[in-house]
Amino acid sequence: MVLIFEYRAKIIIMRLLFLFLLSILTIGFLLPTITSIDNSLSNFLLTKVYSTVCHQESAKCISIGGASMLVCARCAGIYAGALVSGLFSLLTLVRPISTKVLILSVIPLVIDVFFTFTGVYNYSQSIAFASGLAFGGILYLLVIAELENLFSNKSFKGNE
Amino acid sequence: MNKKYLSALVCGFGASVLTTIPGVQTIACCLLVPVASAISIFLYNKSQTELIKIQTGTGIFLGLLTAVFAALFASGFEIIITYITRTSDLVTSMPQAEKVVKDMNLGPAAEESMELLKQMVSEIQSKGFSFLYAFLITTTNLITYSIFGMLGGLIGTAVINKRNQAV
Repeated sequence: MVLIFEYRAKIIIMRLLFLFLLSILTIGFLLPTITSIDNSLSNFLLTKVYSTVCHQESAKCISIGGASMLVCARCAGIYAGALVSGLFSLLTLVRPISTKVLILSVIPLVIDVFFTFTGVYNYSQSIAFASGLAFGGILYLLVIAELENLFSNKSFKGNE
Repeated sequence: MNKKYLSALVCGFGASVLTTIPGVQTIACCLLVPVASAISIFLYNKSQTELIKIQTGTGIFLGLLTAVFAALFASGFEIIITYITRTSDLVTSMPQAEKVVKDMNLGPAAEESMELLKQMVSEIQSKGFSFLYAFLITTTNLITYSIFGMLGGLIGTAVINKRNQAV
């Protein structure tokens, strides 16, 4: 009983830690839109950090009050979806996600990229954001489930 | 060479080459390094025929290794391209940054950081190499690629293990 309680506590701490790290990543790309403090070097560094994971095309980045986010609408959607999933995962049990669900969540994203790339319709920030939202949410649940799997394996091996 | 390192090296190199091609990142976005990590695990799984289940820890380690190789190669490519062309995105964005600092009158901290940026730009334009610039791009690449590489490793392991179980 004590073992199960300890395990649950460790799982919650791990989820909180993971959510905290994700929040730092999210605040990082939101920084130009939420603060007016400007420092050329820090701006350059932040832009450089996020440029390795996003193309940062200004037309595809969401702007708030004249300042653009450091990632595109699709990436912002992925992070937002992961954050929402992260908050929900604190309250409920995370069931293992099947590969089919992950593939299903990628389909809207791939279709949107394909249609905008081929010119079937023009790029829309809201569609890109929405397509990223589902993918980010499912991806987060998959990562959390896998981390917990690793964690539980280690716990039980340690108690053998 | 250990097959574990070989698959990470190949995929890391492949990802770094793709990052230098203009337009590829517009499509692949943040998925380039995670996908490379997942492919690295897939190759590792193929090379280890007797392996039924990949340990999650091994997957994360392989993802990290792929990301580190990708970061080092990508930084190397960027340094070489900067040396040949004597320009970089820092040089092209400099006039705009200068204008912002002047217009907003941001104080001594902004002025000092501007001086550092100016020093990097002048070194790139005159010699084609700035140690500070090289250090900054390598560090930023290592940090971000490592995070996304480990995530890719984790997801890749989950997907491959589930596929193996189904077979």
